[in-house]
Amino acid sequence: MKPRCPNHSVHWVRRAPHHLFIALAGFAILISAGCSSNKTQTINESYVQSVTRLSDGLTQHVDDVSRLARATTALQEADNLIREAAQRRVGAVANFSEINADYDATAEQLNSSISANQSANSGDVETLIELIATFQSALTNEELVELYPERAEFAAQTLMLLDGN
Amino acid sequence: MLIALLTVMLLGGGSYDLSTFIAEGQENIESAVEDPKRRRSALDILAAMEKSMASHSDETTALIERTQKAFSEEKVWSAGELDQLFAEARLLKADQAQRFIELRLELKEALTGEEWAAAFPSS
Repeated sequence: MKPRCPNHSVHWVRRAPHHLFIALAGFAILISAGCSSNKTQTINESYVQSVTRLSDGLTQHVDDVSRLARATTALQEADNLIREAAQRRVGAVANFSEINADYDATAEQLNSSISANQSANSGDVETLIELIATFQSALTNEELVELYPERAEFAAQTLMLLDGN
Repeated sequence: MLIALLTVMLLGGGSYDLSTFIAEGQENIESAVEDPKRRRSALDILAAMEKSMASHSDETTALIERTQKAFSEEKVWSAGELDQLFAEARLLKADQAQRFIELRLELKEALTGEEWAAAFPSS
């Protein structure tokens, strides 16, 4: 695994991914470069900040109280699901590593370790799709455009959060 | 928000640190397995694991790039589009996991318990 620059995540955040391209490019880098083990705290803080910025952006750009409440609630629920998924991933990776290390591990044990986590994620999909639909429907096209930087940053920080274990 | 949630399915769906496992094996197989034929076999399996990981990484990148093109500032995603996207992402991860397990079981067959312990001392 390639070592990552200690300031990688900070540097990445400072570049403020105001376009989705940057978020996706970061994702590609994370996939290809792997991850380090000492950046969890920074990433968690950055992630929390991105949620706060998106929430603040909603407050700033959405005047209608009812639509604001719907979008904010969707964001909060998505935040909860993402945190749970990140936490679940840490446990799933540890569990899989432990089973995989065992010479006598069977196909059933290995499959079971992976499918248990995938099942949990699959169970979230419907909820996630509903949340996205709710979030989008609560905003006008103009508001979606205005909030694009915050939405992109939230996406980028989520990638970092889920990568950091 | 969409890409963040897609990521839950991609990374949260089981992005295990297989590179460390593979690298450790490649480093230690030489000394762990005396028989040249079985040693070659084990190294070939580890190389196949590495190749499979790279291939799936490319496919993931392609999926992300396709999504990127569709994700404009004004884009409003339908439930059907989202469902298809998540399904594709999950299938990709499931294929990757299945391929790794197949190769991992092949590797087990190629090694004795003692050789496995010597090849993966930190596992």
